[in-house]
Amino acid sequence: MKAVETFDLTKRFKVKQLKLTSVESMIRSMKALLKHEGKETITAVDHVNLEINKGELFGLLGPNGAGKTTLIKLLCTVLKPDEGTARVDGHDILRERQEALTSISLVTSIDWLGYDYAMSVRENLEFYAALHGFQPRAFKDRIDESLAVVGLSEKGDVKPFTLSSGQRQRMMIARSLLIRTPIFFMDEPTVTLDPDAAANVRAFIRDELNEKMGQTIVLTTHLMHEAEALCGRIAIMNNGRIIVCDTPQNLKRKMAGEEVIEIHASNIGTEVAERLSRLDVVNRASAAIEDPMMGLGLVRIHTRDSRTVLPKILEAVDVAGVKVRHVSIIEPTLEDVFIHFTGRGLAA
Amino acid sequence: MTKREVEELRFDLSSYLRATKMLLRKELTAMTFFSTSFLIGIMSTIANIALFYYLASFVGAYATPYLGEFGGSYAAFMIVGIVLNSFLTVALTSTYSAMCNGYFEGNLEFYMLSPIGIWVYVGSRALFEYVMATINVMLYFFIGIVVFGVAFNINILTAIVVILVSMVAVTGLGLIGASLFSLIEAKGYTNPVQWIVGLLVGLVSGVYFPISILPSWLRGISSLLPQTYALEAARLAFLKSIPLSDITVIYDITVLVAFSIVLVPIGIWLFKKGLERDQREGTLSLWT
Repeated sequence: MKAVETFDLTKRFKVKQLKLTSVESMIRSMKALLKHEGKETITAVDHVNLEINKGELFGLLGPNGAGKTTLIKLLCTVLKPDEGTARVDGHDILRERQEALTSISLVTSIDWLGYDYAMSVRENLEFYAALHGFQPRAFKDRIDESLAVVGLSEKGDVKPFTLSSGQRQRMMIARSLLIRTPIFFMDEPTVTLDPDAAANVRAFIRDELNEKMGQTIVLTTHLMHEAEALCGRIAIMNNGRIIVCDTPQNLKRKMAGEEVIEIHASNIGTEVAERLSRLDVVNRASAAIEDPMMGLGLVRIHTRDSRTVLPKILEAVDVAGVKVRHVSIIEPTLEDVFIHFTGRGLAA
Repeated sequence: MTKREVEELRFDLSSYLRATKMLLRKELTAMTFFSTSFLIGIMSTIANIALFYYLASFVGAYATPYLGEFGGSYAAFMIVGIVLNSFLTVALTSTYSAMCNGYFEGNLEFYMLSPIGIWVYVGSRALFEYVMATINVMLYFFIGIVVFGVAFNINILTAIVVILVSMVAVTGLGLIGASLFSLIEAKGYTNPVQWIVGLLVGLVSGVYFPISILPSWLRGISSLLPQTYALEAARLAFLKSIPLSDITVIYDITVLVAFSIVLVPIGIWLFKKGLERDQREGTLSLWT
């Protein structure tokens, strides 16, 4: 039995088009409403088929708006699908919702949701345990145990708002550990954290939760290095669809033979990237800003023959009046894999 | 989960009660967390009671001729009106305000993740508000009787039955109002049912004055509200010690039961439909 299986799971949302900011827009909106044109439908999750094994640390990678959070909410049964279904720990999310709920925990990216500011960390955990039908004799020991696992033993009696973001995120993980559900859904668990706190939470997820405790973890992220460092397998999502799903190594192998030339320079941007992408043997080129104050940028050029194309690139860059600081030829990263499959960067 | 761990998770009556107890504790902690606001709330209640009493003393002489069937004291008449209306306002508004609070706090989805969460949450919030209303009511009676010497002549059994039956009937209206949180996206602390019923209750159901002074067309509207029957029966119970066997009380209770039979199932059905709609549309959370 798989931890998670989805079968053509689909979710559509109606987006309101009503604008009431001026008399003109109000009249336009009312006309659209009368013609039943007031809402546009967007497909947030589009016929997703996935299989996630028990004990796996599985990553859903994609830019903001790719449908990752919607997919997680569907699997947590907070949302109902429009088409298809899923099985979580063997329970159908539509027909066996109550059973499915006892198998899952959700850790969200917003570390202030789902706890009460006026209660201590320990009281918050007790409240959560009570909501999940936990018998009181098991309360105390399990709370102590969960707090110890996440390194918050000393913080049991303090109010959550006195904790740092990283500690609050760990409190949320402790809450999920209380009822030891076999599956953890983590929606961008490090997105609000500073680099140190994020590294600690990542290490905890991988070393403690997944490797030591054997929990199945489904983690969404838009951070390439996070997905690469944590996940055994990654599904790349874009526009609600799973574009590709494999191990990070295999994903990179799918780009075998492709090289990436990175040019760090001042006064370099999308215009230069577009010009370079028109050169022979250049597959694509993209630009990113590195330091807006200093006017520094980075252009990444994907090619199958860097030796041939490099002189042409440097010539074109020179003609554009760009001051090159550093050029390197590197192996493709997960970001390149993402661009390869979707045609756009994760920051898009 | 191991077999032992599964055995530790049960959703029986004791689970509901334990979760309710925790939610009540949570509400109480939150209420007393900002102690200045808490104290100001208590002082406002006491000031309101004094205000109502002096207002009642002022208009009492003019009102007495209209209050013969309720014992003649306007202060006692008004205290019973305010007391019962406190409970019925909780019945009308608590489910809806619980949904709004949960929505803006970002906790509704969190409660949906628990097999018993959303119903325990809504029920506990209502229970907490009833406890607060009871404390309020006791203050009204205590200050009215001890400080201002207002006299009551109570039939306890009739009073309890009338309060309970009327709370059930108005809860039906409250659930219908709460369903609009989801069904028409009325998520901003005001829904049409609560607004119109609240408005009409103050105007025509007899909270502050006897409905006999109203023109007949307004009395017609008052007959459509369960609060009208509840207030009449409650005043007979609190001010004239009328027993349950009295024909007027029997009539009022029968009408309230009829309201309950119609409104409560409709309210539960609509509220469930609303939750399903929120799950379908993804509108249970303001935060993503």
